Amino acid sequence: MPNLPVSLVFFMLVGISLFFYFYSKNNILKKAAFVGQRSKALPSHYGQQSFLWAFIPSAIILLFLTIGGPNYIDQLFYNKIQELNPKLNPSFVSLILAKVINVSNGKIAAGDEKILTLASDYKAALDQLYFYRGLVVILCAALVGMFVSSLQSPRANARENVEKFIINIFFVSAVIAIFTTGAIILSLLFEALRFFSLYNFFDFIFGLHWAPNVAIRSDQVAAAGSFGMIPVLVGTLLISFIAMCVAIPIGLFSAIYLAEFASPRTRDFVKPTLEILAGIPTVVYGYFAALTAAPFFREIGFSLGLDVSSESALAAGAVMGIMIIPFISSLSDDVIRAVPQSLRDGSMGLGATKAETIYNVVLPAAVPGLVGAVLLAVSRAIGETMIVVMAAGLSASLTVNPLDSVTTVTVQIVSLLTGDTEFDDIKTLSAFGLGLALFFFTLLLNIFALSISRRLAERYD
Amino acid sequence: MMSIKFRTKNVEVSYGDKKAIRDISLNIKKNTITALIGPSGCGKSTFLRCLNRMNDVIENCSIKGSVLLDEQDIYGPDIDPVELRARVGMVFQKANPFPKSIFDNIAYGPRIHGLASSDNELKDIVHNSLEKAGLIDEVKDRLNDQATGLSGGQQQRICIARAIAVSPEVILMDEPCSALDPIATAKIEELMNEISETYTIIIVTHSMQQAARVSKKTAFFHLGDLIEYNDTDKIFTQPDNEKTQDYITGRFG
Repeated sequence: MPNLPVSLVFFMLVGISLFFYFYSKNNILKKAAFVGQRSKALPSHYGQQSFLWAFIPSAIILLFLTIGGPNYIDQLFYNKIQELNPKLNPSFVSLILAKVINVSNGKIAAGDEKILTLASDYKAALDQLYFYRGLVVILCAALVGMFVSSLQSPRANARENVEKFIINIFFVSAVIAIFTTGAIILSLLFEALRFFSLYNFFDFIFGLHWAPNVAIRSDQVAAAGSFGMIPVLVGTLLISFIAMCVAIPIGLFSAIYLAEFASPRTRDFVKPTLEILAGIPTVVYGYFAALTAAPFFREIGFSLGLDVSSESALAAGAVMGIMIIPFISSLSDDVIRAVPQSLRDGSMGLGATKAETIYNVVLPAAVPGLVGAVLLAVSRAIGETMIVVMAAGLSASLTVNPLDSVTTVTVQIVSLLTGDTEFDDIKTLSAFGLGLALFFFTLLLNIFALSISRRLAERYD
Repeated sequence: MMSIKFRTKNVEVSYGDKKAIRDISLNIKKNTITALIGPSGCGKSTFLRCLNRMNDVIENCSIKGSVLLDEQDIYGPDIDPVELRARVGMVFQKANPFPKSIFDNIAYGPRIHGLASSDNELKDIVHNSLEKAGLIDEVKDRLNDQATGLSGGQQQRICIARAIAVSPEVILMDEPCSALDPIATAKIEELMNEISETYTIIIVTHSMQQAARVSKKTAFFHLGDLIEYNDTDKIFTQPDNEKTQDYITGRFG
């Protein structure tokens, strides 16, 4: 049987579909001339219609067979192996199957006659599958394409159909994002539920002590870990708050300067420069925080007689705030500039000063966008990990003192999931509990911010 | 003889290298409606915006010559453009109410200029302004509604009321009716007639009928030059200049 790999089939499919595109395009002109009427849509619309009909169903069949076919053959051989050795346990059957597949690929050499036979059978079955896959796809494309293009009449409106199809593509794209979000939430939820079956839910969300140390031997001290998320959450909030205290005023003020006062030349220079800040990898910020900012804050604290930890929330938060400035300034600048000039003129025409105009007219009209910008920045701050790992430490102490060392939710998730981990361990699973908590927290924050922006918004049209 | 409100001498405005208007000398009478007419791009809006220094806002715009308001140069060193604009209010081509309530729109000017010492006084100012603008019956029960929810004609009258609320001496109107239907236009023209006894009104318009209906004096601009300035009756019946004749009879423009 000829070898028909998926790429070859795909190219043939595209070729056939293209053929029907040109065929229909020319054919409809002939048909129209025969009827003595102009076709309702442009010839290329009929071509597109035939192309889509030839391409889409066959492409779906191709996709389905490519994903499902090999799985089906695996299942067949799994059953076959089990029939040959009824006494084997399932995991051993899977092992043999894996060996068969690898031998058939030529990845490993077979030591056993039986496996060799199975492997060659497997290869034959796969070849057969690929051959029929190619045949079915090509036939389907050819038949459907022929059918559709011969049925096309100049009186039918092909444009409408093509546009409907395109609208559906947009719809599917929109839905894919929603589905992915749903899938992420579900995976998070199921793992978290496993965690809550091992650890009390209320102890988790209200617990004041975070010490995820599980004993390796049963006679060790600290045999049971303690998973109270409050200290970790407070750490996240503290650092995010410090970051926002830096980023919101600087970002907003620089946006107002850029949008309202800066000359175009200054703006062209300052805005991209600010945006460079967003392009610096967070690891670089991390060691800037750890090596420059943290010692700086410690020195200042020392000279004031304060005891500043060498890994302080203040250093991490301040550097994080600097990282976030461009998010706020760049977005806010766009939002402020989107406020119509006519509103500014109206205010100036009444004798308002520039400052009064900005404060009373421009900013209120820009509020929804500004809230969006701040929200994005807050999400960035809450999700940020690298800076905190490097500059704020890992110790989960329940404190709101910015000079202390704290830890955050994301940092804990990272430290729980890196290294050798087992996925049925309470320590590992607690990471999903934290993830879920973080997700709900940001969700609430979003809802809250949206309701605020709706109340403050002054809509212009 | 009525007194002169604005006296412009050899005013020239350019945007970058491009001259928008040249050598405009024009005396505008107090408490009269003066119309500026001319084909698009002839510089009449530019000239209008010179009168309350709204051109200052536009970048690379430069102005020569002098503009005297009550014999005082408004481009002089001791003039604050902000103060000037409180004396010379402006209504724009597109109605631009702020996205606030009707009350806040009217109260905007009085608030920033501190014209009202108490809430009641502010309410009176808002009420009087709306009354002068002939809007009070239409909106008095919904002063807290969004001004942007009103009809186009009502929005434009809100803008006029907003300008009146600052009690300016002059109101500049830049094609205030170009986006309105004939009924709303008629209302605004009526309003202009009523308030012209207390305010000097300068209106830019594309509608020659409108200029003929509302104004006492008319200035005809063409390609940045002032072609003719005279009593409206004279301009529309026996203009001195051939270009004016051509324009008002619809031969070009």
